[in-house]
Amino acid sequence: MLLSPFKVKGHSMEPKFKDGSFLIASSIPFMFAKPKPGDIILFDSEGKSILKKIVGIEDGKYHVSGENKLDDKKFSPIDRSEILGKVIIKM
Amino acid sequence: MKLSSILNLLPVKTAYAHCDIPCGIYDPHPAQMAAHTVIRMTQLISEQNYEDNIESKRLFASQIARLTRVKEEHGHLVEDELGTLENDYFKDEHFQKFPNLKDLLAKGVKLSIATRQNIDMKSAEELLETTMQIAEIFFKTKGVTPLRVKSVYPTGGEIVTHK
Repeated sequence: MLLSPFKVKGHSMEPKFKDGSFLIASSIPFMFAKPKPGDIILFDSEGKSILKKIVGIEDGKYHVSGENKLDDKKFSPIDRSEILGKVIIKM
Repeated sequence: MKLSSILNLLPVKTAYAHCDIPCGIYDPHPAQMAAHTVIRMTQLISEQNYEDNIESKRLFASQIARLTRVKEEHGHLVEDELGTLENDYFKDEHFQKFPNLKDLLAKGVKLSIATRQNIDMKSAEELLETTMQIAEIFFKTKGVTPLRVKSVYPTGGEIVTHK
């Protein structure tokens, strides 16, 4: 994913990313630097692109979470290979 | 024109920001009930009349506004409920096993919009039928046998439950 527009579906990243808003994500930033806590990323889960924030790294696995803690689906830590890209533009 | 307005017209991909804790409690019943409500509101809107005096016309306008609001809300509810099933419950294996599932979910959303845009009983009935077909698939994925029973609503028609 060099540069791709996405439409957000769901509320777990509010207020930063509202349901129905748009963003542009890219894999290019992670060619030059490793993903780090605070990065908003898209990762693959069962063929779907999931929008989350990296909140920690442990044993090479990335812990991800939503911004809206009251309305967030929990995911197990993910591998680097599952990360599709970083959100670079929020609209 | 804003960039987001332009993007709305393009086939952009979806970034899922899942919105529930994984409670595992999913049910196609609310979508069917909301579809019945859309039918009922469409029926009631079509039955409204007014006489040639200002009071009657005011009452007519008020009733149409109230019925339309409820039709809008329940059309939205169908869309939301189908979205929850699509995004949070149905998995790739379900879409592979039931190849028409994706089309049914998309059709349900389109029909829910059509029923809001118009006073359209055909679309409302088709919306209910679509939610029932999705409910049948849902129950099959749960390993139970779906069953169409007569609804107890004033709309008549059926609703899908399971044995």
